[in-house]
Parts: sequence; C-alpha cells; structure tokens
Amino acid sequence: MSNTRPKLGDFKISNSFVTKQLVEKHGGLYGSNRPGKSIYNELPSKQALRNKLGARFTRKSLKSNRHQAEKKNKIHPQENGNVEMIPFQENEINIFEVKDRKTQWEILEILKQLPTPYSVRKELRDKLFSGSVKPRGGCSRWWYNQQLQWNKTKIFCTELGYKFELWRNSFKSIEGNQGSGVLSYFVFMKWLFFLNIFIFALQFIFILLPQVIWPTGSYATSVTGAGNSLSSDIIVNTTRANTCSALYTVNVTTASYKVVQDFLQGTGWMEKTALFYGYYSADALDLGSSNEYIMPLAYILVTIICLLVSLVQMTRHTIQSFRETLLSTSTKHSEYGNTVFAGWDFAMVDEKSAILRSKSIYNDIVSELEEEKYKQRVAMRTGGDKCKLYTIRFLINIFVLACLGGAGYGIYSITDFSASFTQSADVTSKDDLTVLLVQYSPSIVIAVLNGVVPLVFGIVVKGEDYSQPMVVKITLIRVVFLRLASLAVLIASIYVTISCSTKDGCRRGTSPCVDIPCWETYVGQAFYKLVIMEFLVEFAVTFFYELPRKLLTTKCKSNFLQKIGPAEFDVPISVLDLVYLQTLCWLGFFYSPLIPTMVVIAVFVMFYIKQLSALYCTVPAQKPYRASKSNSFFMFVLMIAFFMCCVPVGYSIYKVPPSPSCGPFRIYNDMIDIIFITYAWWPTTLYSIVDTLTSTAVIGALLILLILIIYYCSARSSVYKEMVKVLQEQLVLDGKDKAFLLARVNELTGNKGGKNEQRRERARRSPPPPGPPQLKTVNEVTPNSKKMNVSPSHTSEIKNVPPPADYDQPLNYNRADNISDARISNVGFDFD
Amino acid sequence: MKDCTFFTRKEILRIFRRYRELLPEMVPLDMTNGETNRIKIPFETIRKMPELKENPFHQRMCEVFSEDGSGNMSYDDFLDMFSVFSEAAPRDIKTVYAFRIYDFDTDNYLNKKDLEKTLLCLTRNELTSEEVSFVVDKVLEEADLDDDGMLSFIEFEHVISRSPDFLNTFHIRI
Repeated sequence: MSNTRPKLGDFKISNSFVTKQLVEKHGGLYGSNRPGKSIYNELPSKQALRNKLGARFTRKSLKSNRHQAEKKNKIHPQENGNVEMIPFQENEINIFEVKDRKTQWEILEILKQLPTPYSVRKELRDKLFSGSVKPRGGCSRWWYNQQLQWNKTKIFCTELGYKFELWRNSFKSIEGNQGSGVLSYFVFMKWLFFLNIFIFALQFIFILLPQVIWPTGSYATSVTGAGNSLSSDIIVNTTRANTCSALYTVNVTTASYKVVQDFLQGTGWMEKTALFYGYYSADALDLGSSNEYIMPLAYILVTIICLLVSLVQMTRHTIQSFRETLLSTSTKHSEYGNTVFAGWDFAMVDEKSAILRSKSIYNDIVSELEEEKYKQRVAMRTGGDKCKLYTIRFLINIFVLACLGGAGYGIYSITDFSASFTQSADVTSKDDLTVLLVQYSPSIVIAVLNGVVPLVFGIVVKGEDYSQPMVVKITLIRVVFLRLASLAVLIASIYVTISCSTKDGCRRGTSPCVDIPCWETYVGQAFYKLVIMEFLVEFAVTFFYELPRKLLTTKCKSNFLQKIGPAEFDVPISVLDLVYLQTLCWLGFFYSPLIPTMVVIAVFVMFYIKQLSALYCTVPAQKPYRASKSNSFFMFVLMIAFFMCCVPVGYSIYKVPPSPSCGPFRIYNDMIDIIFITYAWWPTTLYSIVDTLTSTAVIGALLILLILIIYYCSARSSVYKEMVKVLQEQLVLDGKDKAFLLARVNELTGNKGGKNEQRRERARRSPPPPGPPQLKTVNEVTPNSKKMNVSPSHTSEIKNVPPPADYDQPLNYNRADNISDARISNVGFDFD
Repeated sequence: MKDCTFFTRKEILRIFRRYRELLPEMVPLDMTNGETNRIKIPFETIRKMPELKENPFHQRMCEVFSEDGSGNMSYDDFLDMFSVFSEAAPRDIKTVYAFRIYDFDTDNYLNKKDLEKTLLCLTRNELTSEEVSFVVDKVLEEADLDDDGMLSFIEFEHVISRSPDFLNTFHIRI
C-alpha cells in the first residue's frame, strides 16, 4: 500500500456506521464484482488509521440516534483512488453548505486534528469559510461575539506569555543536551520559583510594606478585644508586653568583621530587622482617617493563605501526573512497548547526547533482559536461601534505622551544644570564627549527613539482592526519610530548647535554661542559616566538584581519569535538594517573613548554576531519568514535606505561647487569639453563624460525609478495574473471531453471492461465542447439524452449502508451520 | 484565527524563518498560496537541521510528512511536521503519525520487520539478533491483542495510551 495522500474533492461528512452501510446498501462489495480486493481492507480497524476521527465518531454514533448524529457534523474523509472507500451517500452533510458561524469554528477544531497533509486541510478550511453565512439573531450574535473576543484575548495573552516566558532558550538547549528527564527537573524548579514568588509577593505587600510605611498606633480595641463581651475570656496582657519589649535589647557592634558574621548568623544588627518576626508590631497600624490595619491578623492570615495556595497548586500539579501513573499501574504496564515506541527522545539535538541516549536505550533493554533472569533466579530460590536473604534484609534495615537514629542523635546534641554555647557567659572571650562555626554547626552537620549517608545507603543496598528498579526506589525512600528526619529532629531539639521549664516573668529562660528573649526570632535564625548553608552547598558542589572533575577527565590524558569520566547529572538527588529547600521555605516563612525572598533569589541563581552544570560539567546518566515515572513521586514527597511543615507551624500558632518581648502576638497567650478577637467584633448574626459552623457537630458531620464520598469513589474505581480486565479478554476473543471469520469469508469468496449475504447477516446478528475457537472441533462437526448460530465451531450448517472440499484440512494459508495450541492466531493474512 | 495547525501566529512566522534559512535561494521572502505547496526543499538539506540531524528516524519523518512520500518537503509539510510535534498537539494525532513513522514498509501494520528496524534504529545496531527478536516478541506479546503477529493501529494506540513517556518524548521544540 503506497503512501498516497487523499485528494481534495472527496471530503464529505457522514454520520453512518461503516459496516452497517456496507452490509445494507452496497451488497456487491464482498462478492465477485470486486475481484482482487478483499474485504480485509474495509474493516473498521484497518480504516481507523486513515479516518482516525471518523472511526471514533462512528463508534460514538452508535449511542446517539441518527437525528442527533446528523447535527454533529462529523467529518469522514475518504481516499479518492481507493475503491474500497465507500462513497457515503446516505445522510450526508456537505461541509460546503454549513451556514452557521459557530459550527464553522467547531468544524475547524476538528479539522486541525485530521491526519491529512496541511495543503488538504488548508483547502478544506478555505472551502469551509467561503460560503455565505447567514447572520444570527440578536442575542445569540452578541453572545457569539463575546466568545470570539474572549478567544482573541486568550490567544493574545498566550502569545504575550510566550514572549516573556522565562528561560525558554535555556530549556531548549538543556533538552537537546541532556534529554527530557533532566528537563523535567528544571521545569519543576521553574514551578517552585513561581510558587515562591507568589508567597514572597503576598508577604511583601501585606506584612512588610504596611509595617515599614505606616506608623504604629496603640493597642487598639480591635487588637485587644477590650470591651467586647464575647471575647472576654481571652487574656490580653498589654503591660507585660510593654515592659518586656523594653527589656529586649541586642548588642550591636559595628566592627566590620562582626558585621559580616552577624549577616551570616542573623544575629546582632540583623536581629531586629524586618527579616525576622521580632520586628513586627502587635498594634493596629494607623492608616489615617481612623482606618487601621491590624498587623497580627494580617500576619496570621497571610500565613494561612500561603499554605492553602501552596496546597492547591501542588494538588493540581499532582492530579495531572497522577493520571498517567494510575493508568500505567492499574492496567498491565507495557515496559517493552514503552521502551521501543517512546524510548527515543525526539528533542535531542546534541550528537554526544544522542549516542548516550541510544546507549541508554540499549542498557534499558539489556537490563530488562536481566530482569527476566532475575525473576528466574527468584523463582529458583530455595527455602534456605529465602531465610538467609530475609535475615540479611532485616539486619540491613535495622542498620539503616540505626544510621538514621545516630544521625538524629548527632543533630540533637549539636543543636543543644550550639544553643548553650552561644548564650553562655564567656562567649565574648571566644574567637569570632569559633562562634561562627558553632552557630553554623547544626547546618553543617545536616549538610554533611545529607551528603555522606546516601552513599552508605547505596553501598548497603547491594547486599539485599533486589531488582534494579526496586534498588532505586528503596534508596530514594531512605534518602527522603533521612532528610525529613533530620529536619524533624532539628525542629524537635529547638522546641526542647525553647520550652525549657524555668522561665521568668518575660518568658525568658533563666539558668539552667538558655536565655532566649525572642524564641520566634531564634527559630527564624536557625532556618535562615539552613537556607544559606543549602545554597552554599549547591554552589560548592557544582564549582568545586563537578567543574574540576570535568576539566580533569577531559583535558588530562590519563586512562584512569578517562574511565571515571565526568560526573553524571543526578536528577533524583537534585530534585530532593529542591524539595528540601522548599520545605525550609515553608517551615521558616512564619518566623522570618523574608525567607521566601531569599529562596526566590536562591532558586533563580541556582537555575543558572545548575544550567551550567547540565550543559558543561555533567553528562546524561547511564540510566536516564524517566520524567513521568518519578514526577508524581516527587510531588508526593513535596506533599509529605508540606504536611510535615504544617505540623510545627500549626502547633506553634495554637499551643506555644508567644514571647512577650517581640513580634505581632506579644500581648496574647496564644497566637490564635487574634482570630477569636476579630470575629468577636463581627455583627452578632455573622458571629453566631461562624460559631455554629465551627462547632464539633458540624465538623463531625462533614467528616463523615467526606469518608462516605471517598469510600464510594474507591468502590467505583475497583469496579472499573474489573471492567477493564473483562474488556481486555473480550478484545482478545473478538480478535480471534475476526481472524477466523475473515479466513472463512475469504476462503468462500468467489462463490455465490447469496451465501455471502447469509453469512454477513449471521455475522452481524449473533454475538461471538466465548472460548477460543478450536480447530479440532471444526474438523469434527458434521455437516448436518441443525444449529443456526454462526460460531467458529459450527460453520458448516450454512444452508444449501456443502462444505468445501478441503474442509477437513487445518486452515493453512501462508504460514503453515505455526499452528500450535490449535489456535488460528498464526494464520497469516497477506492479502494485497 | 482561521489556522489549522496547533501553532500561534508568531510561532508560524518563526518556523517560516527557519524554513527559509535552510535554503534561502530557493525560498522567496514572501510566499503566495500556491508556492507554499510547490516549492520543496530536498531531503538532503532538511536532514542537516540540528533538530533532525541526530534523530534516527529523520528519514521516516520526512517521508511521512512530505506529500509525495519522497522526503522533499514543502513549507506546508514542514509546518505540519512541527505542528504535530509541538506541545499543543493532542495525543491522538501524535499517535497517528508515530504509527506512520514506525511503519517502515507502509502497509498500515507494524509487523516484525518494522519493529526490528525500529529497534535497530534506536540502538544504532548495538543489539545482537537474538536480543532483537526477544524484544520484538515481548512487544508483540504485550501489545498484539488479536494475535495476528502484527500491530494494527488500534493495538498501537492501546500501547501508547498506557505509555507514560510518549507525550514527553514525542515532542520537538523549535
């Protein structure tokens, strides 16, 4: 079959179902008046390639009645020179006669998706729009114009977006060099960048700007809730706040070395800046003309909104990639099909990367072969082998847990030491560098652990004898655990430090507790140091490890160095780094409102550092990172990190008493009190509505409803899975039936037409029987059987027809050698 | 906008510039309607484009998208090709053209020979013949639902719908 393209002039729209028309109207098709061509080419499945949409629409038209289908104006293209294509003269709608402007646009949308050459589509489009269009009546015309305007603005906005699209050229060169797996990492980075910009914008506009611009007022009643009976049970202590704030002093030295050190530590002159929580006042800011801006309320609301928006964005992103994962795991995943058909990355441009890509596809296939061998090895494991293996695995897991525990303990003790050292009496006599190092010690310890322990995990997992994909998964899960656990331990140790029991009137610790005047600033400083450390580590890894390694291995002529080669771009670890940075941002932005700014700048600079690394310093990994497979995994890890962040922030808002010396909540006993005070000031009806809505009864009822909905959805999805299995089996059987019937039809073609009519009628009417068609039963059936069903095992009771002479022979056409298992499947169909 | 590709106006202009850069003496700055179809850049020039140079399927791609099947592409064919490979093209039309590209003997079926040729292109002839036949058998085992030893378009579409990487990899940025 040559690749001739369809010519214009034969495009008509029809809604008729192909085979039905064939069978009912054009009787001579199968029979002798079409010598040399077989019906094989008229089968819908064969036509589906040429009329991709036609087949889809004709399938749909089975559901809707004829009248409805006529209105839908389906396009059914045909080939001119091909006699098999039946001219559809029944119920045709000519596209040249479409009068309605709206349907014109709809047809244009369908036209875009026709798999025909561009020139053909262009002529179709010209003909479509050349006819005169009757003007629409008033209201619908106005509505249509509105839609048109809206479409135009949408297109304009997308084009504008393309002009300003960030990093577009970078993406193209990265994709050409390293492939789409690495590109997905950069796309993820860009997504995080925009999320952080949003958080930064919210905080800047609603927290920083008002505090800087407007002067502080006094403790107004909107803040203290004084005089309102509904909020009378909330304790507000303004006098204590005033005295303690006066006592909160910071020594600021102006020596130049100290300035830099303080910048890196967040102490000294940095401590009372807008960077940290302590700067913000608890009053209602005076906007002039007796308007006020309630700072504490703004602070808490911005926090809640930022977290909610992050959650919504993550959920949206996850749903998109979740569908793909769900699809590939619920049905039988076609590994080999995926490798062969979607293995080559069409966007690759660089020659070396292309060679590497084909090598990695080769490695993929070889590793899949090894998978097969691994499966055989697993099946051959004896009982004793299994016992030994499981004990080894158990021991290794214990070892991993011990590593994690040891890391946690190390972080805890270092944090403790660092806190007590900094606040101790003789700190001024110590060397500045020592103080800096001790301040940074928790961050350094975490960074070192994050770098070294994954290597240990990588070595240890080899003893567990898992298959290769499983190894990758298990190592990744352990590294994720390590990172989240180290952060959790850090937070826990900080909490222990600040919730020490002996405190004075201003909630500052007295000995033996560490004296921390403003614990929120202290926490903010810890996260500030972590963010700086993370950024420095990324910088150092690229410039002090990957760049020298690349230079050494490519410029020096030593064999050993050539064999090591440049570093590989490790996508999973890089993505985990990004997730870690984002976790720090979420944890820290409540205590240090400018951390999102820092993260935005850090991500922006990191993009260019990583781009340098991807384009010049590293090569694509031996096993290319499959963007789709782990995309949802990383979103999942991000979600877990997000919920992990919500716990400390939520707990500190609800339970931990704020320090009276600083910050927007210094007059309260709990930070959440401002919310209660605020809506106590609302009109009584609104207040009572909100009160009932947040009562336990309503919340409990909503929870039960939610659980019921989840249960219903999961029941439905399991039903769908069953249906998919049943339909797959049906598909296989239908295919076999089709093969059998075609074989019989072609064998009997050229005989009387009447017999073909009957056969076609029966083929149309009766459902295919269950069970595979057996050649043996065909041979055994007697010609005189009275049954009327056309089934593969009862073909000879067609009336008035003696069975053909070679009826008893097995159905041999072209591949005579492969009739195994009594299946017809191996009969070849080499017609044409 | 009455366009029947998946591109915006700016992208179409950009693609025209790239097309013209391939062979400026043959392609006028201003093409009327008839000329976009008539003037064809030969295959040898097109295959040197950076986007296509390293692609093992570039010959099949040009053959599939060129109207006469020879590989010489007019501007319409060129635009069509990149439109199908763009991000905005839906999965259906990409599947159709992927099937045509992998169908080396153009019989509208992917039989064993087509699959073998595909594999050899992908791995640049590095696999041994028994590995090739093993993989081909595996693919047919997974995808060939009606057991006729070849993949029809419906079966191919079924494989692609379960392939999570297809949309990511079947994409060219220009």
